[in-house]
Amino acid sequence: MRQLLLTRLANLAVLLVALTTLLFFLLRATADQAAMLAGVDATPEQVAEIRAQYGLDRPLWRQYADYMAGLATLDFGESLVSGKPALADVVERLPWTLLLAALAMTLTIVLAIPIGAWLGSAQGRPGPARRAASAVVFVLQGMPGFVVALLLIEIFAVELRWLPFIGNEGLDTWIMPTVTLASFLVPRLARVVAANVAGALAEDYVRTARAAGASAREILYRHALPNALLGATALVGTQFAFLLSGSVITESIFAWPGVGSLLVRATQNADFAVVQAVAIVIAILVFTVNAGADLAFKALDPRLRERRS
Amino acid sequence: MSTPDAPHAGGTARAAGKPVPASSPVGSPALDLQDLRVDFPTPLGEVGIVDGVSLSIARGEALGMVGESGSGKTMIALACLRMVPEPGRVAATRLRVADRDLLALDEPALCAVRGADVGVVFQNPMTAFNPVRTIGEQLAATWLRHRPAGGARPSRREARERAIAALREVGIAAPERRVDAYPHQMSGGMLQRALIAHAMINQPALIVADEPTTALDATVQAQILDLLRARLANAGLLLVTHDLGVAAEICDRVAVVYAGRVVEVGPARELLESPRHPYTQALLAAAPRLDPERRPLAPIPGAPPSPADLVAGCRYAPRCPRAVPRCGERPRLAPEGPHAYACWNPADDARRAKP
Repeated sequence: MRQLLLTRLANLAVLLVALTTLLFFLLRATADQAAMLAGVDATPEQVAEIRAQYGLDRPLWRQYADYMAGLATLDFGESLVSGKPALADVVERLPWTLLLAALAMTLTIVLAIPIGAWLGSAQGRPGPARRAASAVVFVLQGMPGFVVALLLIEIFAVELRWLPFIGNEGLDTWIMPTVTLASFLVPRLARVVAANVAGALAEDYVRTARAAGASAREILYRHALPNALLGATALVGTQFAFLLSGSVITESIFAWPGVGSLLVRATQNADFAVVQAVAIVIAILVFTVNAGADLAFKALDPRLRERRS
Repeated sequence: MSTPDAPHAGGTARAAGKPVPASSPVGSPALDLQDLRVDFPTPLGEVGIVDGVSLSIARGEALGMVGESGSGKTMIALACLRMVPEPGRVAATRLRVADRDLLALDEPALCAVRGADVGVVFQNPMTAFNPVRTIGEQLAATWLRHRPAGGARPSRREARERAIAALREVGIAAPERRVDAYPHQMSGGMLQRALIAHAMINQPALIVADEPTTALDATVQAQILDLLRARLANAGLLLVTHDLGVAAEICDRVAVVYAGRVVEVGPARELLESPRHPYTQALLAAAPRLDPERRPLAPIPGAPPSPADLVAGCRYAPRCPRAVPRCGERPRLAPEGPHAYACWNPADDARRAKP
């Protein structure tokens, strides 16, 4: 257990060094911060002055060394836009991203597990209702998130005027971003749960339970579903990680004040310190979530729980 | 569900909420099967996997059902639980377990019979238990499931005690600890014992064991068979196996099944010493034996027929060395005392032939 944790932490350290190094040079290859800051109308002299002022005229390796040294003391540099420490910018917006991720994940789990259990318990003989539901799930899986977002806005904000367009002013503004993200995740999770339930129902232990008088209901809830969900924990972990890192488009569409929209703004402004801070924080979160899902899997499956000292 | 003129049935006692005695003195057979058919629809029409099988098992009696893979023996066993998989159809003139007419019951009523009046031991003990629940949980669940409705519901503690007792009865050492073990923490032989405990926890009238020792190594096999026999008490046992020797060893009677029909049935010893049906003879000749003569094994020529293309009349005729023209007609099981066989040209009675 302790060994595992240490190995994981070592992995994370290597990952973070590689990530920051790669980002540092890639970002500087894509844009000139000084020119960006000076604006389009600036003279070359003005640009040079800004370059010197921000220390951007020093050799790249010196800048890199300074940056990495700063990181060691949790100094991520300052935002060129807000002038605040980059990390503070990220930390300020992180709760909103976490909130949206938690809402979307909860909705996904609440919808996908019953749908999956229902689809998976057809025992090879799906009726018309299950066939139709399978088709809907299949189509939804192929629909990109931004299309769902635009459809939702068109229907519920423009036509019906039930929900506010965008922003974060109360519960009703949370609905559309949550539904958009869940619409992407539900079909995937539901299909995995359905496949796992169908697989579990074909197992010998289900036959044993049936032969001992267990009803179809008891078999589904006490035997098939627990085994099916065990196999789905890995996907839930991956999906949550995706929500932390991948809600950039959804946050932008709905002007959600999370790290996703911060990332977009920072990239547009060549605010490298913020871009890097976002990337590092997300990397750590994704890593933590994946490790958590791993540990949860080990804790839930008695076959892996073995040899716990 | 039991008729008024059968007050001795185990089910009556249970319905009345009284504790079921371990060995209810009963006259009704554990299993009474008359003219069982199991048909599967195929694109080419109905295929009869089981074709007119009649069997009866008395309380405390063990019947071995022997046949090759695909002979329909497992289907017969599943029919005793009304668990023939879709789209198979079960028909019979009589299908009674402990005086309960299984053909008249709907699914909820069948659930009440399964595990209570019939207990099943399946083939592969390693996969027969749910891997994420403890053995004790699974035994306790089967016990609790069949407690009579109404009256005080037994506590979890009581169910656990029952599970421990059941494990002890099948010879599992330290059952207080094993009750909390997960299936992967136990050996195959121990799991098969636990599975027998699971099948017997509600003292069923009939125990169906479908190849209970196939997945186990030889030394454990003998222990499991002895255990099954020893724990039988007043229940009937239907032992499905492909091994005539195993069946003869622990069973009172043996039924030999070929292509969905019983071809010979009789007291185990008699069947083994004096098989009358050529198929039974061939099965015996094909089995390895500890014989000083070291005769070579005699395989049966040909292959078991596919249920989709069966010959009219005796289904063994195409492979039978004793076939006669009349084999084109279906032979019926001709009872000769307790020993019956379906053959137009049976082998001589070996015992009578002896000087």
